[in-house]
Amino acid sequence: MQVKIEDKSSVKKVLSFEIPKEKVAKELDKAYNELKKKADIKGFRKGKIPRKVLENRFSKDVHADVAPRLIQDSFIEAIQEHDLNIVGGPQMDPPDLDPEAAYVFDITVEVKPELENIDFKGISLEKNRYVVSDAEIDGQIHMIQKTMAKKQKVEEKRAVKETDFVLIDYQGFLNNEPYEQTPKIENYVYGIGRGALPKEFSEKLIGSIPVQDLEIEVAYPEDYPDENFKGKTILYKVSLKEIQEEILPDINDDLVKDLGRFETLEDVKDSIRDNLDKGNKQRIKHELSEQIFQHLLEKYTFEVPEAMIEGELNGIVSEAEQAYAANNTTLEQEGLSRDILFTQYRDVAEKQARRHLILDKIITQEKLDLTDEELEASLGEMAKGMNASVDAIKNFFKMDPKQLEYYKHTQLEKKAIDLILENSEVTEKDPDIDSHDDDTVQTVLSEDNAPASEEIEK
Amino acid sequence: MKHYDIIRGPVVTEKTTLQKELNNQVTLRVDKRANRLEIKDAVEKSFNAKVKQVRTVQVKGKVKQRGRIIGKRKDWKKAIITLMPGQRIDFFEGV
Repeated sequence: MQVKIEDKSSVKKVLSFEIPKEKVAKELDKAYNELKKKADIKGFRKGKIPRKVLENRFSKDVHADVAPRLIQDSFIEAIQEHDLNIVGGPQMDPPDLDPEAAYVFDITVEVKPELENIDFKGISLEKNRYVVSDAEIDGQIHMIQKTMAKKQKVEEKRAVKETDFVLIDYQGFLNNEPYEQTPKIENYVYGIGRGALPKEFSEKLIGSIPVQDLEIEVAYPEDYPDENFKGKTILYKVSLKEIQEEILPDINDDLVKDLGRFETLEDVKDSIRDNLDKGNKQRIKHELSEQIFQHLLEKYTFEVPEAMIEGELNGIVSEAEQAYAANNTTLEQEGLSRDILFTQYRDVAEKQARRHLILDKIITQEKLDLTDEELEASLGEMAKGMNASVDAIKNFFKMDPKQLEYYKHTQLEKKAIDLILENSEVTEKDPDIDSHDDDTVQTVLSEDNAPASEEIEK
Repeated sequence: MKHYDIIRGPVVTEKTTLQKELNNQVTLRVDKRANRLEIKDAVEKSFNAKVKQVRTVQVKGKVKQRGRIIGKRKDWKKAIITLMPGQRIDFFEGV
């Protein structure tokens, strides 16, 4: 077999193969002999069909069978021989097999680019010193309080206020006929301005005194999403039965006992603090790696194979699809499509691909490896996070060794990031106020470098 | 009877392929009423090949029985045609 490799770019190569006539003939012979045993043609006994008849009848099938095998064999051989690091699927347009001649074909492949050694030492990074404030904890406690709130009937005779809940029965009428899409609902607890009912309900109900009957007319607009209501005017007959008030429980140990797992208020606060702390730690890590890659990507430029970008894109888009599916919508319902997302996220995907390539290079460059103990430990951690036993997770990976390889790789990438972090010069600084979402953090870091370092000096 | 009415189709079996390869003979299913001369003429006109000899066989249709119902397949005539040396019929090469 002969292979010629032509470089189209640093990541794209064209392999030209030439498989000699003898090899082609041999493979064809093998295929025909195999076929002879199995083929069943009228007028011939099984296994006694002359080669000529087989060729006449089955040459197309046999060629379609043999050609890919020849291509695959020689392709694999070429990859091993020339040590090619292929990404994505090869592209080819193989010609028909001619039994009398050598088989010549081209395959276009994309390979991982060869990166120069990466100097990742001494990157200066800035680390935000996030501290969990009491206000944040109080906020969380307040949320708990809200969810534990109870509703209580207001005995005094007064008008409905904006913060109230009301107990109502209601039924909708279309053209004075009961409308089947709005059957009579009894004892519905409706939070003024908060519930799923149209806003006319709130407007009309505020100021009304129970017990009384009301009529509320709702004109649904033409572009209302629900077919059954679109453009219709429905008259709701509502009977307001009572007003309810939300009673917030006091913040004390009793409140948290109802939560189940906790004994005292302090326990809850501690747990909240732990959680926030964990979140902050992750955020710091995220910010740091963000900085690392910003630095490395600026410093090292290289070509990225199209296949890798597409792989990343596919990952991003299917993640988005899953997220939408979890919310019971689809991309199309949100006015999106795979194509739109593909163009939108191309840059992100390319960046991600670059990151993987850099990390890969560092892994090989530093000869990072995952020991069995380390793997064990990380699996254990994962088991804890997923509330599953370590054995269950091991079993899962045993069933799918590819996944395990992938998992190992992500662990190695983590190790590489840790290694970079260890070798970086990290300066601490106080976080800018209001930098709670990651985008602002990034812009702050890139644009406001000067004032930030001044702060440190102070 | 025109020449294209005589030839009904090829007979492709182990035996006929062997005969073709060894003796340059091709085998046809032909109209029962045709005689050797007519067959020779028909083959020469249809396939544009010189014929050396024609031998014919009356093939009796098989009697097929399914339960009490007895049927009979059609009788037909088989013609084994020896071609002149070097002559060939492309139609048979492609079967």
